[in-house]
Amino acid sequence: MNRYKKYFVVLMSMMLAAFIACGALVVYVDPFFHYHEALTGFPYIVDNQLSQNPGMAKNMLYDSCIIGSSMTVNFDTDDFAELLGANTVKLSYSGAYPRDHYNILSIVFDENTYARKHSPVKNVYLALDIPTLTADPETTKYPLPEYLYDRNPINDVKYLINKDVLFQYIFRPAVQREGSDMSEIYFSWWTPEYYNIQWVMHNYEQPEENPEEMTKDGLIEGTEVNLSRNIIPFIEEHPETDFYIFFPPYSILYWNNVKKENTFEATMEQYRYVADRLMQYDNVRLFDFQTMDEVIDLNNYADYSHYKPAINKFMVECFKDGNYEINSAEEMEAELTKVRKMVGAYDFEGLFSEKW
Amino acid sequence: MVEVTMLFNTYGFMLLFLPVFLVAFFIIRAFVQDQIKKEAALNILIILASFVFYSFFGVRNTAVLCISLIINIIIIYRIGKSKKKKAWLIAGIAFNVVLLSFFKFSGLFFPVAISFYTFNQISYVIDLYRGEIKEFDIPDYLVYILFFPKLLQGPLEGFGSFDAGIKKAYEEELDWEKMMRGLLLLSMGLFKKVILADTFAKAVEYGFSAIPNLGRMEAILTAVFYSFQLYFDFSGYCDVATAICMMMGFDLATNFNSPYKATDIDDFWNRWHMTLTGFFTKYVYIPLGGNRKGRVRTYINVLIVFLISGIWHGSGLTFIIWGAAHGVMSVLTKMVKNARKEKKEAKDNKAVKIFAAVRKAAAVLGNYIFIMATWVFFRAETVSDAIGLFVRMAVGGPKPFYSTFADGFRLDEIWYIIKVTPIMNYNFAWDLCLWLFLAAAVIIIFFGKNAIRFCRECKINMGTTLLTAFLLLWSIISFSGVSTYLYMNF
Repeated sequence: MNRYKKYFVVLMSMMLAAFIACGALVVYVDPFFHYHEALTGFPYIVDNQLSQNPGMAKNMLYDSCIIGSSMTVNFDTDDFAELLGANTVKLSYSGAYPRDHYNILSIVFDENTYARKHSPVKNVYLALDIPTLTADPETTKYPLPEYLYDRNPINDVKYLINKDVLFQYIFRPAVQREGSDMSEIYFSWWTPEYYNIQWVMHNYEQPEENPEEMTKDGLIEGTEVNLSRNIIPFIEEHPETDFYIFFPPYSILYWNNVKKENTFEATMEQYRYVADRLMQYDNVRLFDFQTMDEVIDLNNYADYSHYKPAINKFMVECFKDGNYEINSAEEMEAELTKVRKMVGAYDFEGLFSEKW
Repeated sequence: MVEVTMLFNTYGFMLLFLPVFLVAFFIIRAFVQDQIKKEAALNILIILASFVFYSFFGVRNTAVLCISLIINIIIIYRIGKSKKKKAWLIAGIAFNVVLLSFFKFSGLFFPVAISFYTFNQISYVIDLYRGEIKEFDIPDYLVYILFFPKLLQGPLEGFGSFDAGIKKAYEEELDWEKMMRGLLLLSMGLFKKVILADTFAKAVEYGFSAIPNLGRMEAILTAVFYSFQLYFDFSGYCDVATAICMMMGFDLATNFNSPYKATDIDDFWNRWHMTLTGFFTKYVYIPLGGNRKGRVRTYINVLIVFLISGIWHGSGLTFIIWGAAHGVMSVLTKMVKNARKEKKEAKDNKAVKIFAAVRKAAAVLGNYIFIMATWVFFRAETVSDAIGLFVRMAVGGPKPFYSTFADGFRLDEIWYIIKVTPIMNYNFAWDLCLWLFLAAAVIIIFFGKNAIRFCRECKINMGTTLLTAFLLLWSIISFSGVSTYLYMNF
């Protein structure tokens, strides 16, 4: 054989062998749970919502799931087990738009997955962020790694021959022998000392004042489209599943933003509309935490909206005992009146006159 | 629908498109005996493959390319048949310039590779009018415009030499030596793009986004790293394009020849994007009168060419400043050279060799600093950003590197090794990868042999085979990272 041809054969053989070895290792360990359930004893690192959520939704054993934005990352799934007896998996997407909820719920309710073949979905705990309900209904917050969401095996090459997967999700945990605590995955980086008013106010920037007030129903159309396309189909198609849907407790500064943007009445109407739509379903339990006393104490926050983990735990307790649950339009109206009073009574001028 | 691009540094291109194309090319070449049929079949293969390649950039881009092709074919046809050849020539040039200008300045969207294929169209139209192209043949023309290895970033080779080269490849037999040399060059090109250019890009991205916060060294290195990023990006692309042609059996026009080793600005433009320089010389500088109308006109012509070059490279004042700076420097260089030539006639043969070497090194360094400084305008969003970066170089003061600036250099495969060594006991270990990349880049750029020449001349053996495998593997497994985003708020 021509010696150059021999070199060519050697080169191609080496490349092929390396690719097969690399791919086989990734399939075997499967750090994104794309092909199978977790290996027993392997210390998986779970820290990438975009890449690992779809695999966890498909191939982990669970009967309940947490869906939502960064408002849900500080939930401890042990609390759900302890207080509600739910075997819960956290599938948060920080910054999530409704389309993100749709994408992951589609996988959660896919009857062909390993997860669904083993257990039906008993509960979905869904944080509904009012400000994102007017987002484009087809747009996700961040571009998704499509190869982990679709059924096309060809583009799996991006997962199988991937240096980051090899080094960061297989070699590193294999050497360090220290995986993620699955009950606390995706916890925010803020340590307890960040939850204080000084830190919040130091980093807070007020939005520019909008002189023109939004009409009362200015947010309804976008909200209606998102609810109808991205949320409600799952509620209607799965009457056997209880949907615990909650409005998270943003701080009083959130309402300052709403006032500055001149969308206060529109936002109130948006809350009212969402509650009315959701309460039509027997399998929805709606909670509004926006009137919690903690909302006006900025020492409970790390920025204008992100509350400390103790509040997450409190919300799980509420899911159990029904505190802050909304059962009728009248109750929702009463909650909105409380918000109106709370915002009206708050001394924003005093807050902003201080130097932080 | 998600648009999937088909760049050289993608799995789709390297593991599927290119191997399938090459196998099809070699099979047709080997088994179709009739010369005319073989040429026709290979032309069709290249045209189809190139359309497939470009169509991955989406419907809008492909539509603009098709419009450009259709209108140019009509104009070219008219140049060949009509009595008003000159009118059709002007129409052809005007159409292409207007098309390019429209997309450059309208803000609508900028079609992928339009700068390159439009210049190729202009080149074809003029060469046909001048009689340098004997006859208009649609398949040959389409192969010239669309040939996928050069479609995105050139080289801007004239039709004559390109056509002669590719026709030669049609008659070649499969040559395993050329295949191995091509694969070695391909691996080097990919390595330059994926491992070197893309790593420098991370620090550059941070540097240009945080200008007011940069320390002195960060500001200087941001400019240096950008010059390296551009170098390895373009050099890597040229290497891959040349490598594909090498495997097919012909030599693509040289477009990149160790440009930072240049001793002055004119030398630089004879080494960097050489075919663009050739294009401007042939179709702008010489028609303007070149150097035939006295020194002053020569200098004005040079300035005009560089201003057009600046506008061609991008829209906005920063690109005009970049072009103007190169133009002015080129004029000054020519003035000094002219003065020296006169002086030299009187004092010939008095140069001392050592002094000449030192002077050459100083010239290379000085020229590089000028090039590097002007690239800042090339990259900056605004003129004030560019000036801001220079200001930080002066007043940034001593500051440790911000973590984002140095993080990108800590590739796992290198960083994990450092972490298990005693080097980690020292503070400098955290920035060691950055300095290693800098050192490697300096060695390759200023002291390394040109990759294309190296691959043509080196002895192919088991060592080069292993090197090829290593670089290919390293690059290919680095194509796809794991998407991460810093999200704090919603």
